[in-house]
Order: sequence, then C-alpha cells, then structure tokens
Amino acid sequence: MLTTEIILLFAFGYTGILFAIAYFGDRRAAQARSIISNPYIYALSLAVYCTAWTFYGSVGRASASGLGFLPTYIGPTLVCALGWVVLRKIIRISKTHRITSIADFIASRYGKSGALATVVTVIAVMGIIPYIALQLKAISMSYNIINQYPLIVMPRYFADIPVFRDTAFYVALLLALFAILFGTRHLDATERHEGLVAAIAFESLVKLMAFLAVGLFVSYGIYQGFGDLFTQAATVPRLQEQFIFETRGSGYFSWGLDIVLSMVVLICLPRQFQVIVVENVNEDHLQKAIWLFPAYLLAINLFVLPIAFGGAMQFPAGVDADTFVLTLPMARRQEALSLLVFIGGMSAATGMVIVETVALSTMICNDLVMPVLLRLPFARSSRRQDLSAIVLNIRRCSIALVVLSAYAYFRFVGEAYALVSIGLMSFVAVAQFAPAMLGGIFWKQGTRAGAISGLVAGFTAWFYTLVLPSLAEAGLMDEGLITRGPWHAAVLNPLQLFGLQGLDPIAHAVFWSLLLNASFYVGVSLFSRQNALELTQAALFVDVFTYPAKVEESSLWRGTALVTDLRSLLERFLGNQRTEEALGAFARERSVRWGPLSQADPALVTYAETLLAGAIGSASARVMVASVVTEEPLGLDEVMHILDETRQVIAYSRELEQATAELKSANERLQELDRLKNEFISTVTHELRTPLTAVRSIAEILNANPDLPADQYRHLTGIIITESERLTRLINQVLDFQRMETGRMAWQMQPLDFGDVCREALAAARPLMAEKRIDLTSEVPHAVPRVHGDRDRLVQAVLNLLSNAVKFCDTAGGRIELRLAVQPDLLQVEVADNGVGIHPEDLKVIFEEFRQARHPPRGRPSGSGLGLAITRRVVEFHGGRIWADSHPGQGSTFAFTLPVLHTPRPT
Amino acid sequence: MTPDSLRHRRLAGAFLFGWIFFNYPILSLFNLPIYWAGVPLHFAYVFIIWAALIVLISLAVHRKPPAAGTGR
Repeated sequence: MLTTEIILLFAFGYTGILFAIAYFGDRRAAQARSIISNPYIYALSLAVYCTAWTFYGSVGRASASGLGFLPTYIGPTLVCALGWVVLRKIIRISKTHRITSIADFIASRYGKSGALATVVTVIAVMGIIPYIALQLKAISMSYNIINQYPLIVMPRYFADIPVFRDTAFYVALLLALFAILFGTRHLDATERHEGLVAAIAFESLVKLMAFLAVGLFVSYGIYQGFGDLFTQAATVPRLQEQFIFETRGSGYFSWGLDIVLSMVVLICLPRQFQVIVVENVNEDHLQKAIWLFPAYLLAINLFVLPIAFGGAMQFPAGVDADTFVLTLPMARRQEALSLLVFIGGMSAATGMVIVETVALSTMICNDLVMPVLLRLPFARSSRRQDLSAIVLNIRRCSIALVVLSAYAYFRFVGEAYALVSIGLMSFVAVAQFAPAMLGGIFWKQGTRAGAISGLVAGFTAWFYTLVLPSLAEAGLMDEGLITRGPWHAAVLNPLQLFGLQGLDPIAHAVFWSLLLNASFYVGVSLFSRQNALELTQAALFVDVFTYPAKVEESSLWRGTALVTDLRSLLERFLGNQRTEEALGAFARERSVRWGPLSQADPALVTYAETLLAGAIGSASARVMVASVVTEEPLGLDEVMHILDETRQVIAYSRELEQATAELKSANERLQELDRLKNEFISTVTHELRTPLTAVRSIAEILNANPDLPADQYRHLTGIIITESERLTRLINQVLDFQRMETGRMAWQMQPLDFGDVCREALAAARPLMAEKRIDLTSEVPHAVPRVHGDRDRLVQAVLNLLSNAVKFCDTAGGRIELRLAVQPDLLQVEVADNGVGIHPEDLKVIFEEFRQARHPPRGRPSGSGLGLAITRRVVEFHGGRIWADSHPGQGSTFAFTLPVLHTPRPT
Repeated sequence: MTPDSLRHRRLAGAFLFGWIFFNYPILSLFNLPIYWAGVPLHFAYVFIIWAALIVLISLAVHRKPPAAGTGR
C-alpha cells in the first residue's frame, strides 16, 4: 500500500541520491578524474530540456491537439543538425572569452555593455520564474494525486493547504539547498559544476526510464500494442478527430512557427546555455551529442500519443489529461509503477529547477547586483579585502530568491493555467534573445543600440500579447481587454493584434514579438554606429575561428597599469590561491618576472580582465579593470588595424605552413630525381661497357692471332663495327636528350609526308626484327596528309617505339604491328606488340626520363632508359600527345598523335 | 574539400531534409485518414521522418568522407 510515509521516503530518498551523486562528481573533479567528461553524459545533461512539462504536459497537449505537442521536440532536432556550426561557434566564443551566462554572452558581444546584460537578465528572470513555478506545481500536483492512492482525485485548490504543510514547499527548499551546495561551491573563472552535471544526467536517465515504463505498460499492458490502441481510439469520434491535423485556418503556419520557436529556444534558454556551453568539457563531445540528444527526445515522445489516447479512453471526463501518466498506472493498481512515475516526474522537475536557478543566479549576481555593488565606495576602494565570499553569498541569496519567487508565483498566480501554456509563455520570452544572439555571431554590423531596442521591442510585444491576456483571463485585469481590446480599440486587441486572426495565442505572440524584435535589431543596427570596443568584440565573435585561441594574444588594449594593482584586484574576487596560480601560469608561459613596480603589458591586462569576466561577468570585469588602469582610448582606425594585423599573423602562419609543405614535397622530388640520375648513370655505363668490352676482346683476339682466316677476320671486324655503332647511338641519345632538355636542339622543321617517315623507320627496323625473328607488319596508307616537322627526329621517334616493342617481344612468335591512321586534323601512329605487357604502375611513369620498367618480366631491361623520354619530347615538340595501353601478358600498344599541316589553299 | 566543410554540407543537407519533410506542404500529403497497421498514417509518418533525420545527422558526423578517387 502506498502510504504517505512511503511516498515521502522515496521522494526524499531520491533527493538524497542526487546529493550523493553530485558530491561524488565534485570530489572526482577535484581529483582531476572527471566522471562527466564523455559525450554520453553530455548528451544526457542536455536532456534537462525535458522538464515536468514534457513528462506530464505533453500528454495533456496531445489529447487536446494530437500532434501539436511535437514541434517543441522537432525544433531541437533541427537545431542539432545545425549544431556543429551554430553551437560549436557559441561554445568556442564562450570558452575564449570565459562567458558564463547568456546575458554575459550578449553583453560581451555588444561591447561588454552593462545595460544590455541587465535587460537580458530582467527578461530571463521574468520569463523563467513562471517556468520554474510550473515545475513546483507539477511536483505538488503529482504528490497530491499519488497521496490519494488508490482513489483518483484531482487536487483543485492548492490554496487550501497551508504553506508549511505543502510538500512542494519543502521540495523547493531542498532544491534551493542543492543548487546552493553544488552550484556555488567556489567562485571559479570557468563556472563549471561537475557534480551538478552528473546529477542532472542521472535525472535524465530516471525520467526516461519512468516514461518508457508507463508507455510500455499502457501500450502493451492495458492494450495489445499500438495498432489495438489506435483502432479502439478510432471508434471514439472525439478522439478520432485528433488523428487528423487541424488544417483549417493556419494550422500548418502555427506548426511551423512552433518549430521555429523551439529551435531558437534550445539556444536561448538559460539552462540550456548552462549545460550546452558553460558545462561543456570538450567541444568534440558535441559530435555525438547532436544525434544522441535528438534520439533521447524521440524516445521520450514515442509513447505520448498512446498514453494520451489510452487515458482518454480509460477515464471519463473529470480527470485532467496532464495527469494521465500518473493516473493510468494508479487506476490499474500498479503501486511500483505509480511510484516510479512519481519519481520520474520529480526528476524531470528538479533537474530543470536546479540548473535554471544556478544559471539565473549567475546572471542576477553578475548583471544586476554586481554593477550596483561595484559602484559603492567600499567595493571600489583598493583596500585588500576578499570580495569572493560576498559574490558567492549574493549568488546563494539569488538562488533562494528565485526558488521562493517561483513558489510564490505557483501559489498565488500559477493555479489558473495548464502546464503547457505556462511553459510556452516562457519559451516565447527567452526566444527574444535569438536575434541579438544569432545576429551577434554571424553579423558584424549588429550594434548595441540595435540589440537593446530589439530586445525591448520583443519583450514588450511578448508582455502585451501573452502576459496581459493571461492576467485578464485569470481575472486580475478587466476581461474587456481581450474581448473588446483596450479603450474599445479592436485593432489593439492583444490576442488579435492589428486584426491578425487565425493563429493560436502562442503562434500569434511568436510572430509579432520576433518580427518586431528582429526588425528593430536590424533596423537600428543599420542606423547606429559601433564604438571601438563593440567593433572589436564583433570581430572577435563573428570570426572566432580565425583569431588565436587566447584573447590576450590579440591585444586590443593600450594603457598603463601596475602588475601589483591587477594582482590585488584579482585576489579580491578569486582569492589568493587562484590568483597566484593563474598569474604564475601566465608568467611561466611567457617567461617574465614581475618586480614590485613592474608595468603590466596589454596581454596581461586582457588576461586579467578575462579571468575576472569568468567570475563576475564581462561588463563588471571591464569596470573593475578600468578602475586600476590608466587607459588610452583606441580609435576606430587603430582597432581595425590591430584586428587586421592579428588576422594576418594567423594567415601568415598558415601560408608558412603551406610553403613548408611545398618545399618538403619539392625536396622529395629532388631526392627522387637524384636517385634516378644515379640509376641512370649506372645503367648507361653498364650499357657503354658491354659493347666496349666486346670491341676490346675482339681487338685482343685480332691482336693475338695476326693470321686469322679471312672470313673469320671479316666476321670479327663486322662485330666491332656494329658494337661501335651501338655505342655511338647510345652516346647520341644521351646528347640528344640533353639538348632537348636544355632547349639547345636545332630542329629542322619542314612540311613532310609522314607515310615516308613510317616507311623509313620500318626499313631501319627490319634487320633487327629479322635477326630476332619477329614478325613485323604495317598499315600505312599511301596518301597521308602532310605534317610540319623534323624528319630525322620523327623517324627516330617511330624507330624508338619499334625497338622498344622488340624488347618486350618473345623471339619466337613475336608480332609487332605499326598502324598509321588518318583522322580529321591529326594522324595517329600506333605500335602494338604481343609481348609481356607493362605493369600498370610502370605505365604511369614509363615516359619519364631515366625510367625503366620497375617490374621487368625478364630481368633487367636493356637500353639507356631515354628512348621513350626522347620520343615523348619529340612528339610533344610537334604538338602531339603520346600514351601507352597495356595489360600484363596481353601485349602493349604505344601510340601518339601529330597535328596535320593545314596548307593554305593555293591562290 | 576539407573533411570539416564536407561535414558542414552534410549537416546542412540533413537540416533541409528535416525542415522540408516536417513542414507544409509535404506534411499535408500524409495528413489522411489512413491507418498503417492500425496506427494513423500521420503519426507514423512524423516519427519515421524524425528517426530518419537522427540517422542522417549521425551519418553526417561519423561517416568518413569517401576515399579520393584515382581519376582526375
């Protein structure tokens, strides 16, 4: 039996587990053995997106509008597709500038503007407090329902329960305690909270498990699968209507707007900014997270429709659809499952409350309280005193304040609304950050004035079109406002502004607020000027990937400051130890030592400001640093100049890298050539030595035997002659090649009949073929168009191909064919053999000088290795092209083309 | 093309796929009173496209670029 004691035991036991996990996570982080540094935990922590609104509210919304709940989850999936571009850029910028909140991000982009940070913070707090209230409402509602087990009673009037007997109140206090303990342990320049993230990831697992469990129970426990459930639902006309998407009016347009809304919200919600950007350990985790997180969303939404329709069929009217997730297992007397669902809903709610309050407290502290505090004389005095404790206490108070305000909102205002409408109202509020934020990272011309006016316009439109009507509906304002419009001016009716009809209230508000916001942002930006700091920040944000990873290296600051002043400033906010560590690291990296009167260089000032920005926000950090340095203002031109220089340094270093790579490959090529040259020399000398040896040994024979018979004598001297001819040929080849290479070749160009050239080459080759008993055939037409060329060289080229073919042929059964084909505008010469063929790798390089087949089928090939290279040069000199085709074992074909000479018509 | 810019293009393609298939008019083509194994077609359609989009994103991020061809 589920008694109150058991329920409370589990509720507080679960909270205890969260404390334990967070404590463990923080301890491991302190030992530098992070438990959250992996993409899976990162993706799970992003699922803090799914709040109690998802857990209970999606079902409520699905039973009212079918698929209408889904855009809220499809949008984030689409953003994830762009995540590698957009989210990675935001993460990189934030890490570079040590940005720890969305207010700081926007303020920093527009010239570290304190005013802008304040505007963003105010919007965030006003937009988010109802959202946190919604979570408390969900906890309270689910507790009050499960506490009635086995009865199913809708709790109507929270106001009946005194605050001090309201479980939600104690849960709120516990959550505030948790956020204070694990969200404000120390003032760090990075603001990462590993224990907190570990607990959030755990909560994401719990809520997913609980939801899947109840989904499976409804689909397969109560019904026989999806098909059965939907078939039964189809028999109820009221439910069957939901199967088809509402297309009257502007259903699809509202659907599209809802997707856009949830897309921008994924980036703009303070808690999402906290988990995606601030708590990110490693940019690469994004790679897996951008599909794991959408997969999580898909899984947690899979059973929403079955539960919605199942609940609608199981319960008569009177049971709120928002409670189906819990009441369905209760109605079936599933005690354990009911308890699991209650805990799952609690995990969804508490995860959101914890992260959101920590994110908001950072903003409230840095951007609302610090600017005021820093103007007070005690904070400005340079007396040594530790302000870090004060900052931390401000944050703790902010957390308590946020949670208590949310509780108050829930008690006194929030009763009137369904879960979903409160959540969507918050969504529209934070969506107002999108133009300034996205414009800020992709559009350099966006100015501070533009950002402020856009935000104010969007916020005003939000307040007018969403908050006023909700107040009127709750009876807190005159209802005539939404029925007749203010002052009876229907055109100003907040639900149908300027007469726009057909959109649901949320889509209506999204449309007007984002339209006004973006228009003011762009319009005012185009008509206002950026100051030097805005210009700098704009460039550093938009081009973050082209600047050095460390801001201090792009020193956009000029002025004088004492190192000791900076040090004492840092100590006041970061404490002695952290300051010592940070400055020590800086000094070691640059090998500098500071004396008591050392001047700080610009890099150190920027470094100190960035460190401070991590702790108290960029706007406040700037004010504080400015209080200890004497700054020389930089002109716009100078800023542009410095930015250009910084970028050029990067560009140069890239060019340098490229040049180095080119040099390296050139060097490799040279070494290869050198090796080939050596090989060539050894081949040529070998080739020279063979005939020389023959000549010498025959000469020795003749010398030793003066009275040889005449026929033998003639035979031997004949060999001497052929061998010396071979020698001459070789030497000529080398000389020819060298002349061609150095361009000193004297070409005897004249119009000539290429048929004759072929015939001459054939005649010259015939003795060689006969000797090797190779069958030589030819196809040379009689009438061939004339070409312009050097006759001897062309004969040599064809002959080279023929004798090259001989080398590949077997002596017996070898066949070589020379074909001359006439094509329009060119002649094509082919020399085909039926020899061993050429290895494909050799085919690529066979025309290069000094190359011989590396994979010779029959040992070492003979010749200088220059024949084909010379042929290629001859052909190319005549404007032709040469190539070879071969398959090992099937012979090869060498071919080249020559352009035909166009003789002018005789006049 | 560098691996990173290839990845950007693939992801942009995945985004366009999702945007087009999740919006009017393609969405309306499946908004019919037809049942697919008992499940309303429109519901099944949205979840299948969603799953396909997630698979596309993971392929875009994790699939190595195809090996450079030997041809020019």
